[in-house]
Amino acid sequence: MRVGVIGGSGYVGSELLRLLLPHPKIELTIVTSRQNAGEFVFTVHPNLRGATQLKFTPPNISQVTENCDLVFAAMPHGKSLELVPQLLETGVKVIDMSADYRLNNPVDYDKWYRWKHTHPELLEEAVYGCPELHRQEIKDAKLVACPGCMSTATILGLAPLVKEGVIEKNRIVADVKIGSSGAGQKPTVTSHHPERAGGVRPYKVADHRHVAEVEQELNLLTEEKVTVAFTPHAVNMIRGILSTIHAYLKTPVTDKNVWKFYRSMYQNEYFIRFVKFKKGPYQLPNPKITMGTNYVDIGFEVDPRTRRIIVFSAIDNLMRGASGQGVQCMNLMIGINEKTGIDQQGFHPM
Amino acid sequence: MKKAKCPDCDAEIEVQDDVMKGEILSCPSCGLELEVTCNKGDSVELKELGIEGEDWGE
Repeated sequence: MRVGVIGGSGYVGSELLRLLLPHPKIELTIVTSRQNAGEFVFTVHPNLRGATQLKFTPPNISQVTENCDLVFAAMPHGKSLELVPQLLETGVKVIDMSADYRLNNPVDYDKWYRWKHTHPELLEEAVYGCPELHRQEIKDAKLVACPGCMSTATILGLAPLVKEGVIEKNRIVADVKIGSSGAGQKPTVTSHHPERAGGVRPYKVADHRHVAEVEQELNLLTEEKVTVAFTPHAVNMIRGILSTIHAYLKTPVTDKNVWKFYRSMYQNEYFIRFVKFKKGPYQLPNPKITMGTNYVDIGFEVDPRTRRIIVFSAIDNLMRGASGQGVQCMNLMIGINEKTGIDQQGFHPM
Repeated sequence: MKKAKCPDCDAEIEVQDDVMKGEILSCPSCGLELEVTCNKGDSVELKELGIEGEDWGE
């Protein structure tokens, strides 16, 4: 299986290359970057020195499709829109890491992204690349849209409660913390070290674009309409996401009940770990422990006084929030064990 | 091995056949410390160990 990466110079591209280079079942044949064409990959991604002598090539579509059976499009949002149909036409399978094919309803692009989708016919074909929710569809897909990082943590944290129908579906608040790599490789004023370091910056507090996919996926699990209030914060980490989700219970539940809900949905999911432990310093999910892994760590606490349940969902934004999940989807699409190449444990301490 | 249930998280816990009343176990799912209160026939009963734990909070 020959695999290529279009847009391999960003952080998502970097993480894809780290996973794909040693992957035992595929051959990484081509990595494109317009601005770094001709450079060794390791000049941009120094962690890959010694792992490859590949050089970036210009983003020439016919060269890519001649050398690949499956392509990761790791372009900024909005740039995959016209690229993906060209790739699909040649018969290659595509995993798009951007948001351009995540939403099922084209109208949602007007609403949340403020641009018109020019290929709505492909939105019907695209599969939302969350294996725990769409495993069989991913196996059969030609186009997979890899979910957003904060969306992944929030959707997987909430899904069992929404599915069981035990929470009020219009009183859900996700308070999300994310590290700086989530903002991408291009520096901005807000990512400048003196501005970002040591601070906690709320941003897009009421209308973040990930809300669209969070509500889309949760609404597939229930007939009642789900509304999620979602507020992200840029915090002083490089990697990692913690989604702290507050929801209100329709009727009182015990810890045992909640364990049952989560086990019934995720008991056989290798990449989901329950973290609700009574000993040690990591009794609830902490993104630090997921660094470099494809795990989603999920824990909860019931607050009977306010009839609230608080769910914690932690991931590495570049792994489970992007490239790790992308490779998990690739493994499903090519019919191999979905853990292949992404079964690493994290660092401790770090 | 016999099977028992954690009284807190309801996880299934595997217990040695010859486990003795008063032995202390730990739930592999939630970490709760458990005391064996009964081991008769196929049934092993556990209860939460009632001692003061270290405060891991901040």
